Amino acid sequence: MTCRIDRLTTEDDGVILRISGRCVGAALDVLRDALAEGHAVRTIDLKDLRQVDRDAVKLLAISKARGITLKNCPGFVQEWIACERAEPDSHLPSDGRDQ
Amino acid sequence: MSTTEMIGSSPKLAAVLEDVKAVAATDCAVLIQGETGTGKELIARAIHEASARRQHRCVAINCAALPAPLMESELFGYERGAFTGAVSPTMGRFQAADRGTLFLDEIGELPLELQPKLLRAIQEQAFERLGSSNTIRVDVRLVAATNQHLGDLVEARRFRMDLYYRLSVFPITLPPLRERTGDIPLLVRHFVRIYAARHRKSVERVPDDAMAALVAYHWPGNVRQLQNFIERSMILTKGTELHAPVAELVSQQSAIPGSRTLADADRAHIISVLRETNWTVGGRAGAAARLGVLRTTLIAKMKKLGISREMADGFTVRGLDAA
Repeated sequence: MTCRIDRLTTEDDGVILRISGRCVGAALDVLRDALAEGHAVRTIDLKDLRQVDRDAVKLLAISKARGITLKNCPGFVQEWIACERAEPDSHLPSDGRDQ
Repeated sequence: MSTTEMIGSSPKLAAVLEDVKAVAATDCAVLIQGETGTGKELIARAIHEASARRQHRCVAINCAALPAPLMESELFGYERGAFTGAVSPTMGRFQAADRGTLFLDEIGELPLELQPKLLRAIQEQAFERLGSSNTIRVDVRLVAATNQHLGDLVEARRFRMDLYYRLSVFPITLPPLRERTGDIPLLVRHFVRIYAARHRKSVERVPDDAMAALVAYHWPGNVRQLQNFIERSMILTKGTELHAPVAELVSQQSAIPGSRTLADADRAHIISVLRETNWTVGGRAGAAARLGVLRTTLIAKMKKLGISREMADGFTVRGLDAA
């Protein structure tokens, strides 16, 4: 196993998804499903994230634009999200703010 | 794998191998300490192979390789639904090592929050998978390794004292290669044989001056660095004599700030005087006279430090003069 995604519930019934390890390939499908489950995901905690691919960055960028907080977002991911947005053919919506 | 794969005949290595034999017969925890590249995993596997557990698995995990949550699930396993994406029950490394040996490499990097759970698993030989309350009992022999000083980590409160004492029942300290230089020629010939076969070359000898330089170098990356250097040398070799680019070693040693040893200083001064005398060693105007030593003493010193004119040319270009 190279990625683990924990769903943590906050006191006000919000949901934090905590990603550990490599968010690529099949792990990205798990994250996509977790985001689509209809729970009130408010935060994605990336403290223990080690690796992402372009699809993961796009998904994180979309999540951020939808108001989900990217907590402990590593600098390289922040920069990559900014680069993806700056692409001329980017269809990514504009964003909220990271913590 | 066995202790016979540890190449060398130095007293320090012999003492380590004696320790391996002694502790292998027991079930006690072993803490292997040593610099990077000294062969800690080799020793861990040698302990397993020399023990009564050798019919079972030796399972290794690197504590620095994974973040804490992943390390927890890797060590102890998990049940279906323990976290998002956990679709089936999965055995952890602890259980996989049942009746065998669990090797925890880079134990100093184990996240603090996991240390109590590991301590309990070691002491009670029992744990629960993530998402389960069923206790799993195992019979695991623990071997841990580190290139850090765990005592310092304990003082800095980055490592639990109780876990430290539990792990270090039988500590084994591997000597760095620079403390067993007598083993270097054996290791060089061993790696030459291996890489000659791998790269389909017939290298028959290692030049004396190259060997002297290899013995004189301080090898901060230890046996692993020597092994990689010999493989690179083999790739560069065209004939039957090993072409070892030893000048690069000297320049590396000189280029690292603060890394100059007494041997580095001796080497630099001797080369400087030899240059002034146009590499004349003996005679009234020779380097030996200028340095105030006998000609034979200087020659012996040059051999020990791996000094030759060819090596010193590389020394000029890449190292000393640029520093």
